[in-house]
Amino acid sequence: MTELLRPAGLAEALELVGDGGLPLAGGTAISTLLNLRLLEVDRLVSLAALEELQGIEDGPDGMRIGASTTLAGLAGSELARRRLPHVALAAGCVGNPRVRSQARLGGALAHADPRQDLPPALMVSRAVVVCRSRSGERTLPIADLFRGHLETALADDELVTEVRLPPADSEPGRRSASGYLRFAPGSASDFPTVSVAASTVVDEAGSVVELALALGSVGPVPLAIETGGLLGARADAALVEAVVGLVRSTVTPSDDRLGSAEYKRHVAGVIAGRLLGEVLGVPAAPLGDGRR
Amino acid sequence: MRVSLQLNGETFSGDADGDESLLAMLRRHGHTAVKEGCGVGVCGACGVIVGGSYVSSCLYLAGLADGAEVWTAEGLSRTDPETADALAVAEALQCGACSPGQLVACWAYVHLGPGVPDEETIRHFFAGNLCRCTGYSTIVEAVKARCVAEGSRARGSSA
Ligand SMILES: Cc1cc2nc3c(=O)[nH]c(=O)nc-3n(C[C@H](O)[C@H](O)[C@H](O)COP(=O)(O)OP(=O)(O)OC[C@H]3O[C@@H](n4cnc5c(N)ncnc54)[C@H](O)[C@@H]3O)c2cc1C
Repeated sequence: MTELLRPAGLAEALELVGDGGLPLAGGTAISTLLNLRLLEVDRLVSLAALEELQGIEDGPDGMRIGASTTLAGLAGSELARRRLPHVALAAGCVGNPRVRSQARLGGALAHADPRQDLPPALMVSRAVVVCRSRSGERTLPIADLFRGHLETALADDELVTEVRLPPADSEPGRRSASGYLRFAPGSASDFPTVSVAASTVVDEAGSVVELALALGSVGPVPLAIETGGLLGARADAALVEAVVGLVRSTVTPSDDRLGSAEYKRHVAGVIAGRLLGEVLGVPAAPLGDGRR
Repeated sequence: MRVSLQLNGETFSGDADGDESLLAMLRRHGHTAVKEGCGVGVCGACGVIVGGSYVSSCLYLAGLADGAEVWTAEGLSRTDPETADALAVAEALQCGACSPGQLVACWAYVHLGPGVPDEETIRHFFAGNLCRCTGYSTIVEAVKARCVAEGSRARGSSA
């Protein structure tokens, strides 16, 4: 017998989770596991309706997105679409409309499937995850949340309460841009074979001063590309080409029904080049194997 | 646990286990307009409206619907017969297994959004509703027709 608990506030939810209850956000992942008989649970603690976990706000200190925001709400938010268009876009790509109206940001992060759309998009925006337990609060850079396939750094008694994002770059003369691209050749409702998010800042002289790139479905956790060596370069086709090579040498995909590791490594380069070209407004990199 | 809700405009009350889906509970109580397909949220056969949201009832825990308004294809075809008519006129069904889910999806598309008679937007939305008979084109036609009719009514009433 499973007990389904619907606490009235965050403090009560933290107590129930502290006493061994399993957090339940939208329940799309948990119900899938229940239906497949892969999960048995004594107590579920529903978070979806908690007032403290709602809302999307922006201010001088940055943005805050409550953990119980639905993915449809995030995809449709005017504020998110303006400030974080690639995050809104990624949220709008998840599964199908029913999943998006039921699943919540907190669940989408704590589920930690490396094929998910949102994590790479949030990673390139330097998102920070706020975690609470009855003994206190801590913050984690989003990349540190993911420890392995379906594994996170969250303790059993911890809840994700919100995601915070730094203020937008407002230095005069600089141009910020971002994007998200997923490759799902079968159906729009499939998980992507590979996905990529990018966020860039280019200064007045045309040099790249910020370059963040992260990919999904290319290893056990969503992967941020170390791009430090490319900062200061001109935003041109040569840079895009260099990033394609960097992506291909960094990703560690595995064989599955969507393709071989080798194929995914190739596709990762193709979509990273295509997206970065678009984001920087430079011609796309060659779509070949990058060795030309 | 006891689950009380408004089902298709009428009071419903039934028992459910904490880990029982809304789909299982409704069918156990004889409300078979909601169909089980894949059981993992992919096919769309079990689509329902809960508290104004379009969800898969196989992935929605019954207990979370306590106190909510729930609509299935049965209720929606009564309150909005034009959606069922649009699907029938376009011959957007054959074996019928997915049809209740297609009807709920069509209703959600028109009334909850996006609501635009644009082919690509419709196909993207309906990627979550599998049909093994029609080849989808007639379903897309039905949704388009329904959007156009609803749009001209909205324009008419605001004029
Ligand atoms: C049909 C289908 C298609 C899908 N396709 C895609 C896709 O294309 N792309 C994609 O990215 N994803 C896809 N998914 C996965 C989807 O992203 C996840 O199922 C969803 O994001 C989980 O969110 P939820 O709110 O439903 O989580 P739940 O199922 O409620 O919870 C998931 C996990 O997170 C934990 N949890 C929830 N909230 C918190 C919290 N606040 N703090 C700590 N722990 C918490 C739960 O205990 C559980 O372990 C798909 C899922 C389905 C069912």
